[in-house]
Amino acid sequence: MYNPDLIRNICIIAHIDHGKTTLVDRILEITNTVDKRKMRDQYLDMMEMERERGITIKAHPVKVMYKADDGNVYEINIIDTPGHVDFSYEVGRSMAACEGAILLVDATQGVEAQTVAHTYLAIEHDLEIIPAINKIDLPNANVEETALEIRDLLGVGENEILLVSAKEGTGVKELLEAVVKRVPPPKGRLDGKLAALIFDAKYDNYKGVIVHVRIFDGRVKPGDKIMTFSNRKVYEVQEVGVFTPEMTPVDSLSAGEVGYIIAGIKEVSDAKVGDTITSANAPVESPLPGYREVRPMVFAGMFPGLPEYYEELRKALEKLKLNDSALYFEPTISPALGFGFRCGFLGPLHMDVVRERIEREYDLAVILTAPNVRYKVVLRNGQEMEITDPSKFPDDGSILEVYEPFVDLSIITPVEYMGALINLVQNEKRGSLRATENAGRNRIILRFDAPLAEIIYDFFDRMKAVSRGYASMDYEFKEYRKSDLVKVTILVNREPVDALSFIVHRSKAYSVARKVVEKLKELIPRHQFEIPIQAKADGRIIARSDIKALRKDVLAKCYGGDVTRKLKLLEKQKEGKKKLREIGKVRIPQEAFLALLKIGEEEQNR
Amino acid sequence: MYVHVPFCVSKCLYCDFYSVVSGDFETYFSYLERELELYHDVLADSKVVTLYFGGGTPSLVPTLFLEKVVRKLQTLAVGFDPIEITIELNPETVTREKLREYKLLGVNRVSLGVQAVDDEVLKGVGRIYDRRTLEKSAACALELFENVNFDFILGLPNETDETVEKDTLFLDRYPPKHVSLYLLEVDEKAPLFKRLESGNLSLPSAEEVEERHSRFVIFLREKGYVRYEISNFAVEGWESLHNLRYWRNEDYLGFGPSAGGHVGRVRYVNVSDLKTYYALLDAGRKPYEHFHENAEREEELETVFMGLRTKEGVPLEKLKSIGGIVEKILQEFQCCLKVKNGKIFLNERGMDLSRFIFERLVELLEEDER
Ligand SMILES: Nc1nc2c(ncn2[C@@H]2O[C@H](COP(=O)(O)OP(=O)(O)OP(=O)(O)O)[C@@H](O)[C@H]2O)c(=O)[nH]1
Ligand code: SF4
Ligand SMILES: [Mg+2]
Repeated sequence: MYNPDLIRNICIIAHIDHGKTTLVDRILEITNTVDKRKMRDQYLDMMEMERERGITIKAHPVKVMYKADDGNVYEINIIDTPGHVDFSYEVGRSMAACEGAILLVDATQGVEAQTVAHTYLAIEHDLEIIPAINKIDLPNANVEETALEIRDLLGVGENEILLVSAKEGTGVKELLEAVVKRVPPPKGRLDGKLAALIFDAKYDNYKGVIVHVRIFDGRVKPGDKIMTFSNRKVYEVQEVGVFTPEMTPVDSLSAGEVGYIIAGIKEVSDAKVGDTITSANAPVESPLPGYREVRPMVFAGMFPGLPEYYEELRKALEKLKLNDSALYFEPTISPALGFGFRCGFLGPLHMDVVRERIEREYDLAVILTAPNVRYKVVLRNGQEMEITDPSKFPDDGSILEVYEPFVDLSIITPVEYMGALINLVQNEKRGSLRATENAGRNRIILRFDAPLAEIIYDFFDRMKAVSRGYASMDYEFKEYRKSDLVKVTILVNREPVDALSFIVHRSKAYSVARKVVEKLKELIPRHQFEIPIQAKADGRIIARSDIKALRKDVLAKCYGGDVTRKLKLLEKQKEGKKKLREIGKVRIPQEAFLALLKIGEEEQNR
Repeated sequence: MYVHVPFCVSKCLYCDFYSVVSGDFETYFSYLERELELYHDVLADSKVVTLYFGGGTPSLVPTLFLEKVVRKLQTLAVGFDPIEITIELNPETVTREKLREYKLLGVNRVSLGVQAVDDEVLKGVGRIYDRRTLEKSAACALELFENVNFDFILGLPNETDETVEKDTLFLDRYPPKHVSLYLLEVDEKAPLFKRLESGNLSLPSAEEVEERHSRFVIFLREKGYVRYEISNFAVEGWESLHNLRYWRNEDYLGFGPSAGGHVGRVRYVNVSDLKTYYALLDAGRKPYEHFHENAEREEELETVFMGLRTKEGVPLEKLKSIGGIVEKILQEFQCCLKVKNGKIFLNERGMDLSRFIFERLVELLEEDER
């Protein structure tokens, strides 16, 4: 029986690893949503990559039926969100489909950067926040301190904070009771005109586009004619359903509910996340508030491993974009790598995830170039341009001014690492400290202004290293600032390779260039001739390193029983070499294009 | 003819041959005889010119078993009168007694797996003898046999310029008629591969190894050895007749797991695992896992691939069906490939770049087929 008063829509938010997905496991168990035999840890982390990395990448909805102490059975729609800073956008989107949020805080870590960031987001979305301290089963759990930090953050009373162990199940029932009691039911009207928000979507080879929706008003069922608001295209609904957490068809979805719609939408671009679905016969006059357009923060070139796979890469990116609306791409052409795409990402992890998903889910090898930020350039002739591709950076002579993005960087840390962190940001990363705030008894929030370009390169690892893992960070775009930047061009065998060029602050040009040429020397295999690798800036060579000629490449051994095997091996090696891109007679492996990223990692390992 | 003896005292880290550490010799050799019998028709009308016991470690098993193989061959192959019988020795298994027995059996060539002389290098790859054992076995082999080969491998972990100098000094003191000089190749299946991956062991740099290889080659030349094949050096007249048959792509049979044969245009390779080897023989079947009759071009590819390994090279008339490709590769590698008296061959430089050239050869052939 449909009764909106018995529906609750919530999301679970927290800093990375604080136990969101594990909490959902316990909820699935208490509510008997998943067959016991099929249950496994972090059940909602279904993507192979999520399981391997042990983190949630995609927000995932699930509907559970909970019999509360008041005797009623409630339908609770829960969205498990990712905790990593790069995926904060997913969190915001999920919130638009909810009336409440469980804020989970790891008792051994306390309030961290995304705890704060996601709390603000939830407040912005006007959600009822239920704070809960997790992992209380651990011997080093510091409940008291964590509670203090939460109270500082939310201004709630001690008794409003729940205590749970998502691992052992302690307190989970009480948490669900609090959800039922404190979170308001959805307000929608069943007899109103259909208004459903697309909060996510994915592509299925058989069913076409599957949109994830939150129904705000009205009802939708198979056979209905629906319309996407933004482009006014009409479709007939084939299936509607809910997430249990697998997709399960139902007769209809009604106001207040969360589920999916399949309506024969074939064009990926026709189902925009944030768009409103309404009835084709009786459309609403205005759409639901959609999402703010996300601006990608980092950019990189993505090229097919082999040039002939360009079209396939395009299709893969389009399909992926449907499931990852923060991904941005446009076609580009590189003299060195041919046709490809300039892609925009929310951060370095996002970039890595997209690459891996393309490789796994679409079985395509790709070459990724080192990431960079979006620069603004003002030319002498007054023209202004935005640069996301270092190889398109204009000649020095024609530039009047260059601007780079600065972020508002906040770091939460135990007080004892404050000095080391300030030192890191100010002396190594060109940032400046703006403010400090207390957070709980012995923690502090440091607020910096820092160039985004410095944050995307090995900053996270450095921060963890100097704080023994205790500091956490969040950042948000702040403004463009004038800066003294220079483009460094890399020449391989005396030919400039556009895909290897990068932009760097003048004060760092020499040291970075030197490390990059050294790294390239390691990554590019030796050839039959000597290969000079040079870095050029301001028209001068500023670093050089030579790859010595390969004088021997001996197939040392071959006797009677070996002939077939050795010939096969040769073929395999030859195939392997095909995967290298040949640029000016030099075969360059994929990893070489990420040399700039790799030098950061190396320093880390020292 | 090749006979594989798949047993070793212990496994070396770089090993990619098929051999096991414990095994029942009795059973193995009785199956080997059954394999020989399955080839009775081929054997009946072939002349066995060379016989080679390889491994594994043939010198590990009691001579009695090898003798049985020889007796069996005598009954099966009417023309059994080999001019060269070789056996491979590993230093830890060599005794004067054993070598005497080999002589009586008709063995006239021994090949000693030296690999390196320095104890640290040996230990590093799991060879189980030390320098003293090695010297004793070398002296013994040279004393009892005139036709002796020593195997060396360059590029092993722990190798330095000094350890390689020990190798050449060793050759000065114990000069064999024949030396094989290999460069380490690490197969993915070899235990060494994992150790290197995990960073537990490391190899000398490619540049260092190249340098050492060049010096070693020069040393051998100065000592009067001729590089008659990419990795084989001999005093003139002491080349390995058996191995030359491989490189000339002539006919041969191979017996035992992982052994291969070439008869006419047929090429086969046996299964490389004792269990399956036994099972196939139990079923009365020849124990190969690969059997292929080459098309003319395939045959000629093999001929040029093997033949280019040798100093003498390959007669162009044997490469008619792939003539166009041979022409192309000659063009591309003028610095490395030469033609003289109707034969195409690699010069020293070409031998050093052999993998690269062979790879190109395979590639050209494939392009041509499209
Ligand atoms: N001891 C203990 N460990 C827990 C508890 N809850 C979660 N964990 C562990 O904490 C780790 C992270 O848990 P997840 O559920 O993946 O955390 P998450 O918040 O979903 O992480 P992201 O989705 O990546 O942000 C896992 O190893 C869990 O087993 C708890 O209550 N007690
Ligand atoms: S002695 Fe030869 S066959 Fe035996 S394990 Fe060592 S390398 Fe392998
Ligand atoms: Mg998770």
